[in-house]
Amino acid sequence: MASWTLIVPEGLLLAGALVALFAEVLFPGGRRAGAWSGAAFAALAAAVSIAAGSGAALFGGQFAVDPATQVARTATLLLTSAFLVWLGGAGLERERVREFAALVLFASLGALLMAAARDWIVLLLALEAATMPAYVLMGFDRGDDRSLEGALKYFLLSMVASLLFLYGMSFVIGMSGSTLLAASRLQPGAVGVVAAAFVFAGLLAKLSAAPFQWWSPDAYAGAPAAAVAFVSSVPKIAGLFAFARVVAVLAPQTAATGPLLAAAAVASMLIGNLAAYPQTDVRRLMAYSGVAHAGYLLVGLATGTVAGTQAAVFYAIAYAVPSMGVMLVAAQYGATLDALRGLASRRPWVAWATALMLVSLVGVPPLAGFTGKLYLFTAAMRSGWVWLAVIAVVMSAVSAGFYLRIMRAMFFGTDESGEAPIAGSPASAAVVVACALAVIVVGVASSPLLAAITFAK
Amino acid sequence: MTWLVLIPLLPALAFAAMAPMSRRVRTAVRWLPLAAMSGSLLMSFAAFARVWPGGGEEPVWRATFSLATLGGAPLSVGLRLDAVTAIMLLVVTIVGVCVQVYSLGYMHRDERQGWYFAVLSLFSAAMLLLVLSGDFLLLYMSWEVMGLCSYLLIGFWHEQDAPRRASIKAFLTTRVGDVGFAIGLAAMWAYAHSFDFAVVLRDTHWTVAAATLVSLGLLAGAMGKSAQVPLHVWLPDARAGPTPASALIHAATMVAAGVYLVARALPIFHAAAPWVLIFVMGVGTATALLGATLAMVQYDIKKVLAYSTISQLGYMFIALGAGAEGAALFHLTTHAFFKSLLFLGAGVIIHATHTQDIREMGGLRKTMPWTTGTFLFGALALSGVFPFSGFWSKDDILMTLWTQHTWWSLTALSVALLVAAMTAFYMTRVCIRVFAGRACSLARETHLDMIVPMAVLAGITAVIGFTSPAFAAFLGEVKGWPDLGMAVVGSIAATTGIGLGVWIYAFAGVDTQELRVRFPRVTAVLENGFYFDLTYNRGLVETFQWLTRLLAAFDTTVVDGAVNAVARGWSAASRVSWAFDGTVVDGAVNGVGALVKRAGDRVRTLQSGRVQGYQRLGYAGLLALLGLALLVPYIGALAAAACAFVALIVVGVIVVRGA
Repeated sequence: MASWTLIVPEGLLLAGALVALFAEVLFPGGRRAGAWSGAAFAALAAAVSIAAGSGAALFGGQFAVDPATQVARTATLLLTSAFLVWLGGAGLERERVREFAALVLFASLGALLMAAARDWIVLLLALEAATMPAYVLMGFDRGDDRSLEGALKYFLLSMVASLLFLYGMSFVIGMSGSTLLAASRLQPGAVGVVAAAFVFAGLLAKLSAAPFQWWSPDAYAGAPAAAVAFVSSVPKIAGLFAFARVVAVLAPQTAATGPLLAAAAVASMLIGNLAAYPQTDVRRLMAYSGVAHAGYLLVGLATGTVAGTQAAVFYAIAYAVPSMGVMLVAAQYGATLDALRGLASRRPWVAWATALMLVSLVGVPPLAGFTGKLYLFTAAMRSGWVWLAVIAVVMSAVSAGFYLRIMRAMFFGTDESGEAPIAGSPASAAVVVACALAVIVVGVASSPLLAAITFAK
Repeated sequence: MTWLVLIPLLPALAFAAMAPMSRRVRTAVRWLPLAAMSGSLLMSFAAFARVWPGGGEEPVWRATFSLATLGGAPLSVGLRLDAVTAIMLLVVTIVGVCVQVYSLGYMHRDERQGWYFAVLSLFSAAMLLLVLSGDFLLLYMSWEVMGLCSYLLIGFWHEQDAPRRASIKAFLTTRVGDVGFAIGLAAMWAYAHSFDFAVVLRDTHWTVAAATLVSLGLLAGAMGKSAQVPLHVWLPDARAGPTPASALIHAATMVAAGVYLVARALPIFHAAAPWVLIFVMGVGTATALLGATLAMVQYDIKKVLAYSTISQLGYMFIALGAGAEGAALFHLTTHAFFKSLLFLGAGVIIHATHTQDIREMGGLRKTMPWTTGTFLFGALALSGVFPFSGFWSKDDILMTLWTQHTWWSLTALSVALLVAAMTAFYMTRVCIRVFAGRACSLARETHLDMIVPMAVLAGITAVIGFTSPAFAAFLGEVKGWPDLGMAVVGSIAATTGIGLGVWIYAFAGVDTQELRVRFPRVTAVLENGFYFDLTYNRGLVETFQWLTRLLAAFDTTVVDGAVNAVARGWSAASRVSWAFDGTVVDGAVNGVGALVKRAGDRVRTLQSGRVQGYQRLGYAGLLALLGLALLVPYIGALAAAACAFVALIVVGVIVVRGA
């Protein structure tokens, strides 16, 4: 059965995670072997994902890959691989790299399943599988109280989100008499609306969108920056993708979807962009930036059109790449604005690549961020959400301010700390540069990628 | 008569309004549940007037609300008002208002009293909904909400160890019964395809097997909630909660819900195998005897009352086992008033003497005349002394057993008489220890706001017994005044108990300490409550813990580092959370426009670093989203209203600034 190749990437990730866990036994002496082997497995999985194609469904329709799913899965795998290369290169100056790599692979496995899930229960399980390793990653610095506190907050509030989602989901399954996403039937009236609202509330919280974004600044600010780099970016592609699936199923059945998601989008954009200004910690700043970007993504979903959904999936990728890249820089060279002072003179390549990614996050042509926003806002205008598009445009202009603060620190500040800079490795610098290149490529060659994001019906 | 919906809705709204408030604001509006409850009380009187003069089989009013179609079958819940409901509504609202008024005085120093009042309000809403519900599904839902409130109130002082343990114990023990309840409901649905009282109880033709299964399931739920042997172990511990909450929940209303459930479902019990009703009577008899026995040897005044409640609930189950729904409900009613009265009195006494141990009390009759008087009313009623209410309802049950005249009902009758004497004995013991003798503390009489509710309850206790024939007629049963013979027998039992108590405790006829020493084995058995707790601990808790240890050993040997580290770290994180709170908000801002900065700061002040705060904010956000989603059809009108509101505020601010 050829269609079984669809699930080979998951198998490869699982194998990679297990190899990484026992890396010290398998590769004596190679402390970073876990990360390297994991990167290889993830890259191989990406290749399989591209080669396996799309179209078939497995397990009675609970698991299916259409072209859009394939794009989301491949992007997830490539980013995972890049992250692991960085990790193997220099990233973590500490023991337990193998554990870190294994957790990343497990989370990535959950994300892959999440993108392909076509069943409520599978979706929930995949969501949990993607989040559970993230709790551990966020609390990875066992000795650091702030890291553990952030992880605990993340865990508690994420559990609340899961419960909201589960509660809403149980209503939907009860009303439709089937656990398949496609078979979901909401009843007219209050019950259907309440069920949809609970499902959306749970997913909004997982996406760190307002009004459920509270956990993310605290969790990110406490966690090791390397963990933030992964958690804030890679699983979000699959998360957004699953969210889009759910919206596509529920939106035609209840009129409340659009206003509800639009309200969350506005709140996210306002809170994220405004609260990011006073921050001096890059992790906290990027947390609010993540909230703001969740808002842009929701603009696409709120339209309820195919174009809007496509744009949202595209933008999720266009956001994840620079978000990961910037956080990797912060992880390696310092997580506060002060620590990044004068980076341009110490590491010109890295600094220029970072600047490029930040500019993309603001949304400057011809980079990926610009193209993505263009698609999103056009879709919103076309489907009549003009006011929403206007707010989004204004807010992305506002966002330029705080991204520029990072750049100013890198290029115009002078290093006053006097600490010796961390020796960068070629591999980890290459990953940052590769992320910057990807931002350009995705931005320029956006139409083929967007065309590839087509949904099976 | 749709306004009946408001009876449970008012207290529920009070809770919903208070839940998201901050502690300070909640305390400021602590009178809100009382206001809601008073509204419910007035409407309950109106409902009672609508049902009057009662006697009919058919409900006076019914309404069905269709919820959804689940799995192809329509799922609906209904409300109904009939004679039973009307009486229960009055009981719950009268006791509820008294307890609320009393609590305002009792809890006024507690920091978190706002939460107490909010939960009390939610509880009242659930209990009112339970008695108003016209089908078993809604009954079950409100049943579970009550269980939650009971858990929250028992564990109200959760920073102490005992309340926390007691709340978990109560929740888990009643849960055992609730599993049976759920199975019974599932069987009911499978057989009758409905939860509606009218369909299930009247129109369905039950086979013996189906009726037996369903009735045993319902009985299990009732036994858990009403603390019947062997699921009674949670109730004595439930005294760890605030005393007025015990009065309302663990004496007057919630624990009686099991009796109410069986009384409602009695037609199914009649359709079941004959041994089911005998079993009910057996459970009741055992419970009544066990409760009374243990109440005789307790030194904690609230524990005496708790065991007494268990014993009296057993009495009600005896009545149910005899098929005498009316007698059970009458005893439920009288018991609700006099037992809540006793608990409220105990609260005042504990407050004044700063102890719960009756050995350390004494002589309160001189310093606390009002408390003494009202408490004695309650004690006399509980002991079954004419003309107080307990005499009438107890006599009702005894008479029912005598008329039934089977060997099991006569056995139950003799045990019930013994229990009556024991009841009178232990209440005499408490009263003499607490009120008579030398004053051993500087206790002072409490304030008027706590005396008034007790006086009201005492008044009701004194007179309500005389309504006995009217009560029966209201429920559609025919019953005259008590039979003189049974009244004399019952009174003899009560007098014997009182006399024995006076002889032992007032005139020191028997040295109880010597008895304890001379019969060590009996003492040990009684002090350990017949070893129920110990058996559960050995059999269940320790087995479970052994299993846990086994799994833990597996965990530590197989799963390494990361998991352990995170678990350890998370517990450390909670310790530092407090210290960390203040340090999150910091940092200077430069090079940004002042407006954006201020807006950013606004958002940041919400970002307090406290996870409780985040959850509350998330809850508020969810409510906002739900409200938005439900109001989408009216969004234009709402936007206009919001604009008008904002304009009004702006104008107001300008005017105030200008002035």
